[in-house]
Amino acid sequence: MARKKSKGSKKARARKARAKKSAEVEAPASTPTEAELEAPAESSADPTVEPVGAGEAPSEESAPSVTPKKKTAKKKTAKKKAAKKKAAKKPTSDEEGAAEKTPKKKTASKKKAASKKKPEKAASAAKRRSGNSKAAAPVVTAPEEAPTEEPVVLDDVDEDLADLVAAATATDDDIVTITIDPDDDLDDADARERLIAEALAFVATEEGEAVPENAPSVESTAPSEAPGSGDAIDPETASTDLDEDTAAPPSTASPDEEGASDAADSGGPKITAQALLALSEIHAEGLASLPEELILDLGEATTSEQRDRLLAAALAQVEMQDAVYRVSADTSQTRNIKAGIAIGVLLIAALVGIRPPGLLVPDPPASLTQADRTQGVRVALLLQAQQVEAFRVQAGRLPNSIAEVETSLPGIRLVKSSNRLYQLIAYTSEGEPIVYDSEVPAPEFERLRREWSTTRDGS
Amino acid sequence: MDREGAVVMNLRQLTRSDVAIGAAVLLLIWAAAAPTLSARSFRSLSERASTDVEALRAAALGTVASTGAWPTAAEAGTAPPELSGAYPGDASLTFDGYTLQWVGLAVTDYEEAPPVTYVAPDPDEEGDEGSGLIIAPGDAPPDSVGPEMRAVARQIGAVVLYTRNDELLADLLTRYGTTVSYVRDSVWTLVVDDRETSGQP
Repeated sequence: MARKKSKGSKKARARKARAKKSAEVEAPASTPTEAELEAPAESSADPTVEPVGAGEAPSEESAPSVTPKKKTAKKKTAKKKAAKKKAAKKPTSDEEGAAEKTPKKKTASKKKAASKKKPEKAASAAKRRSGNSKAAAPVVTAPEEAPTEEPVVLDDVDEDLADLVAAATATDDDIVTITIDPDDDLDDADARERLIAEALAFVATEEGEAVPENAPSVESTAPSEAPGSGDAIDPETASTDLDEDTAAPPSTASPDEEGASDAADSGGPKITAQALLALSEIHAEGLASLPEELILDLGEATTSEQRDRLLAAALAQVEMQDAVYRVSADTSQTRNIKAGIAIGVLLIAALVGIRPPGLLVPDPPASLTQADRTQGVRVALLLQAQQVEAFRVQAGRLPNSIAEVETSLPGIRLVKSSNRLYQLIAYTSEGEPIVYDSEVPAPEFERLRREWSTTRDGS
Repeated sequence: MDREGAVVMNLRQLTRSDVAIGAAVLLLIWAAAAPTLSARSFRSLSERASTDVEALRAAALGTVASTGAWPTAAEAGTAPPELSGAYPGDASLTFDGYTLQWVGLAVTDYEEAPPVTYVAPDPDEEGDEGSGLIIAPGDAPPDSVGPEMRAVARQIGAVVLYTRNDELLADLLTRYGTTVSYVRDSVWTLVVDDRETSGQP
């Protein structure tokens, strides 16, 4: 059913969005026309008086979700925009008469001629951007998307550009009926981008909570900024305001803009004590990390406190990035001296590692000598001879092989020379054979046997 | 938090030269302390090995004293079933850096044989040839002959330690001496005899 809204209503909604955004962005240019706008704004209730106003009335009726205060503000800004456009173009009476026909005509021709790709592209791009702006850290992305140049005057672009903005901000149902003629003068890409960005900011504020009108907003400090336009955040302006926070905040709102005057009267953009405290904590922590509570989505910054936090986070992020690249630069002479010291210490370390001084080396542990290993072979042969003798005592004969003995030590070979005599042969680690002859054991074995017996007998 | 932040900032301001100096100093400290640390580590290993060897030896001797039999031989790294009380759990004798094993050995002892008694044949009985040694007339009397010795086999045991650390082998050899222990290849063996009264490390 929403798709079947009247084309005039769609157009009016687009104008409303454009007018609201122009009220945010448009600055001093709108000031001279305030007097002119006063009368049409007052008479906006009568749809027959003003062609533009006639298109506006149903659009407001078709937006019941807007609060009365907002509706009034939007109506005012839309009227101002329309009147301004009218004054700029100076339309003739014929043109005024045709003004009512224009939306229908354009919509009809657009539906045929222009493809729907452009609005869909714009809508998808808008969704992407809005999604990105919510997903990514706002303190980083916000300054890139926000306009940093002169305020954009909507008069510089065609109405269809505003339609494009409306298409970017509208719901899927609205996108169907809003088309753009590619032949129109939409050649100003920068202006188009800025408008889309502003429209996204507008959408973000629309989705957020309603802002108290008397709450001090960061945006409201901009000179001659419209009231109620503090829903969107201009990081460029915000940072400037923060820098000028110590000075007297400008309050140049028009007298008829009650919201702005309220904001200005309340002291303008001041970073709250909480935000300053958070910022000081960031500084105290060496800007190593950004507190979680300071990370805020741009679209969620609806209150002044949140904006202040966002601002503090942005500044902290900048300083954090500066700190990362803040590396002390050594002079070449200092570098050379340090390099020489490093090389010298390295050489000393290598020397100590290769040949440590005796002071640093404790008593070395005992090491095996060749005599120890040879002695070990002899003891093993004697022990194996004991096994063979034990076998002979038990079995009454010599074993046929060393494997027949209950316990056979590795590396020892048994050679039987007769039924009563045998030899045991083992090799040292150097390959030298050592033989134990059962008939005439070597003196080393006899000595070892005596020592062993003495030891075992305890005598 | 302030201190941590200051430390982070100081670390970020370090240059490569500073890092090189720091690394060189650390290397020097390590080179100077390495011998002491290594010796300390080896002393710890040697103490642990000696303690484990003594525990196994004491358990085996305790078994002999209580049951009169030596523990049965077991595979390397596994305690004999008789020593399960001393090594509860999985009874593993595999330790960090070495493995223990209990083996059974047999030795031959020579002991005095019982004296031979001479029984002269009874002349009144026919066919009685007597018993014992037949000593021809004029020979020395039987009691003048020295005691006869005979070989007797008996069981002992040994604690075997397997390790690739030659320093540990040498240290154990130094501790227990070269009489009751010996080293062959990468094996150190300690003979455990219940009759020994000396040779303790």
